[in-house]
Parts: sequence; C-alpha cells; structure tokens
Amino acid sequence: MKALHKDHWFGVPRWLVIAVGVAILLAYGTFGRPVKEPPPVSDQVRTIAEGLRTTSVYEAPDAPGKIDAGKARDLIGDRPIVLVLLGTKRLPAPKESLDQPIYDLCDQIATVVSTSLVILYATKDTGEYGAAYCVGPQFSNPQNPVNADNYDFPLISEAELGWKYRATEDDMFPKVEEFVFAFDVQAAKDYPGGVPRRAPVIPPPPTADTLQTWQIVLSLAGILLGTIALFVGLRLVGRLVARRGARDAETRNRSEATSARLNRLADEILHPPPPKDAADARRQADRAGQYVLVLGQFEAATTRAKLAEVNERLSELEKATVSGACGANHQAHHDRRPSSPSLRGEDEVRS
Amino acid sequence: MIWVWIGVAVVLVAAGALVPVLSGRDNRLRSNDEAVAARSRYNQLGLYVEDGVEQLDDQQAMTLLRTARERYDTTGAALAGAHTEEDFLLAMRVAEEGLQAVADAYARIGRTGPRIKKQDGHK
Repeated sequence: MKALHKDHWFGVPRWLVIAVGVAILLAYGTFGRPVKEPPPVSDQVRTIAEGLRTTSVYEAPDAPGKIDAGKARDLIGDRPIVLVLLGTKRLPAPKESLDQPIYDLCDQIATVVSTSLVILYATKDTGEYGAAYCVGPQFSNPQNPVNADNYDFPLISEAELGWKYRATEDDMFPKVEEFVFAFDVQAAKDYPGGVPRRAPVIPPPPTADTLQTWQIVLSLAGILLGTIALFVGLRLVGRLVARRGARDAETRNRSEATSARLNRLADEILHPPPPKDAADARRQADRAGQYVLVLGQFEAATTRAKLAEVNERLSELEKATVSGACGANHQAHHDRRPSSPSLRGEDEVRS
Repeated sequence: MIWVWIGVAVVLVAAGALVPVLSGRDNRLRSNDEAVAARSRYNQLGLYVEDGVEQLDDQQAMTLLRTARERYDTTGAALAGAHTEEDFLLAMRVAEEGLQAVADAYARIGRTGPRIKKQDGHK
C-alpha cells in the first residue's frame, strides 16, 4: 500500500502538486509584480482631454467668458498650443504655502497633450481668474528637436510686454493673442523648415481599478479551478467506467467457470453408468432433471448472488453424481477427479 | 473563434483525463503469457481429440476420451471470449483437465499420453 502512494505528496499525485506550484509561481510572476503604469489621470483632466480631441480650445460650461473661445480657436488654428478655460469653481487651496494647484493641473494636462504648449485659465483659491503656462514633456521630440526652455519663461515675458496695456480684467483675450504671436516669433527662429502642427489628442484609456483587478484575478482563478474540477470529474467518471468494466469482466469470468462445470457435468449426466436397478435408474433420472433445472437457473443468473446460488446447487449435484458413480463400476473414471476440484474449489471460494 | 479554442481546450482536458484511464480498461493482461499457455494447452489437447473419439475396446478409456473431448470444446468456448488474465487461466485449467483425462485413458490402453506439466501461472 505504501508503494502505491510513494508518488503522492499530501495525498495527491506528485505531478498535480508540481503543476499547481508552477501555476502559482507563474501567476505571481505575471500578476504579483508591481507594474509600471503611467500615473492615473483625474476625471477633470480626462474631460479636458476629451474636449481637446478636435479643437485647440476647451471651454468649461461655467467659464466666466473673459476670453472669447471662438476667436481664440480661430487664432490658434493648428499651432501646437491648447487653451483650457475652466470655470469659476475655485481650485483647491495649496497644502503648503509654495504649492500652486493651477500648475499641477497644467502639468497634468501637458502630459496628455504632450507635444503642445498649454495655457490654462482657472480660478485660483484666492478667487483670481489667472493663467498658468506649461510645456508638454514631448514638445521637443526627435522629429522636431528644439530647446523647450525657449517656450517657457522667455515666451511669457515676451508676451507680457505686448499684453500689458491691452488686456483688462474682463477681456483677457489679448493675453492669449500676444502669447500666440510670441510663439510665432520664436517658432520662426527654431523651425526653419516649418512650424509643427498640433498632434491629435488621444484621451488616456481608463486604467483598471482595484475592483477590475480582483475581477481578473477571480476569473483566472475560476478558469483554473474550473479546468481542474473538469479534469478531476472526468477522471472520476473514467475510473468508475473502468471499474465497472473490471467488475463486468470478473462476473463474466465467474460465469465462464460455472459454464465449464456445467459442461463437465453434462457429459456425466448424458453418459451415466449402466444402472444397477430401478432405484438407481430413478436417481440418475432425478439428477438429469436437477441438471436441467440448474441449467435454467444458470441461464437466468444475471447477478453475482444468483450465480453463487447456481454454483451452490451445482456443487450439490456434482457431489450426488460422484457418489452415484462411485457405486457403479466407474471407479477408474473418477480416479481423475483430483484434477477437477481445483476448478470447483476455486469457484466455491469465489462465490 | 474563441469558442473553437475553448472547445479544443475542453477536448484536450477530457482526453487527458479519460484516455489514461480508459486505455487500460481492456488491457488488463500484464503480459500475454497466460494467453500463450492456454492456447498451447488447447492445441495440445486438440491433437488427441480434435478428430473425435476413436473406438476402443476399453469402455472406461473411451469415457475418459469423451470427457477430454468435452473439455476441449469447453476450452475453445472459454478462449473465444477470453479477455483477461483470469479468463485465460480458466481456459488453461479446463484444457489441463482434458489432457489429464487423455493421459488416464492412454495409460489404460498402454499408449504414451501427454505429459502434464503445470504452468507457473496456474493457480
């Protein structure tokens, strides 16, 4: 028994334990490692990116209207500049005194429109409607290499000189206009072959949240466990079928053994020794009748219990035949009997 | 297309689970030694009784040969349906009973009969 389980670990086949271990390692290697993902994009930035897909200006529904979005759109055209006009809702107060939430938001937008310059107008925590300027991280790229620093502070300084006496508190469009003009001046220097066009904005795909991650893990676990359950279930069914086949074969073997005994007895019933007297002849006739009955019983024996019953009656009949024959002059015939009990004896034990 | 792959995967899993179990179902003969021995005994017995029981003056010898003939027929029937080791062992035992009967009969009439040697697999 021990030898049968030597290839088992924890009561299950060794190969199955190894397979599960490898599966766990693979799953950990695939899902357990921290994945380098881009920082998640806020809903506000996603909304802005959606608004910038087909145009260079995004105007929030509650924008104060200090900048004419239509004119700005016509002015900017397909220059690599985007203008975002947020509403009157104040940006959150800085957590520290030097923090500027408007610049954080501007940088987030710049990561989405990475090859463009960003002009963001928003209501600061102080209530002032002001602007932040930032440069996309890919504004200078292998196709259009340029010194991005020229488009940051120098450009704003240049524009500021222009809008100083033009822009008012209620009309800030000149600020945008002067910035665009300053961009044109600088771009004319930096891009002798032509100013690059604004790249289409592709909103970032939604990142998988925790719930989705668990759904993936659970579904994978379900697939794995389902496969194992299917395998084990089919294996059990196969074993049941195989066991039933083995049982059927054993029953058939027993039936064959009984049939062989019946054949041997038939020979003796059909060719009995000459009867000594009338009583002996009647006994022989009785045995023949009993044999026919046993034969009928054997034909109808479909279960092991019925077959055991047939074997029992057959043994009695064989004993009666042997004792009847012993009285006749057939002793030599029954000298060979020692070879027969081997078959009969085993059948009786089996029954 | 995905359903095709799912179907292929299910078929592979089912085959992996069932084939090792069911392939051994009708292959319970660990070797064919028993089958060879049983058929050998059957053929050996056939040499003596296949053409019928010859007429002899000794009635007891004729009775024994008739029994041997019956054992020959029974062995043939057992071999025809034998699939397992036990089936072939049964057929071999029946054939050896027939050979024993032939040996007894031939001893009575002074002929050299078959020499019975039990097989190793004989239980």
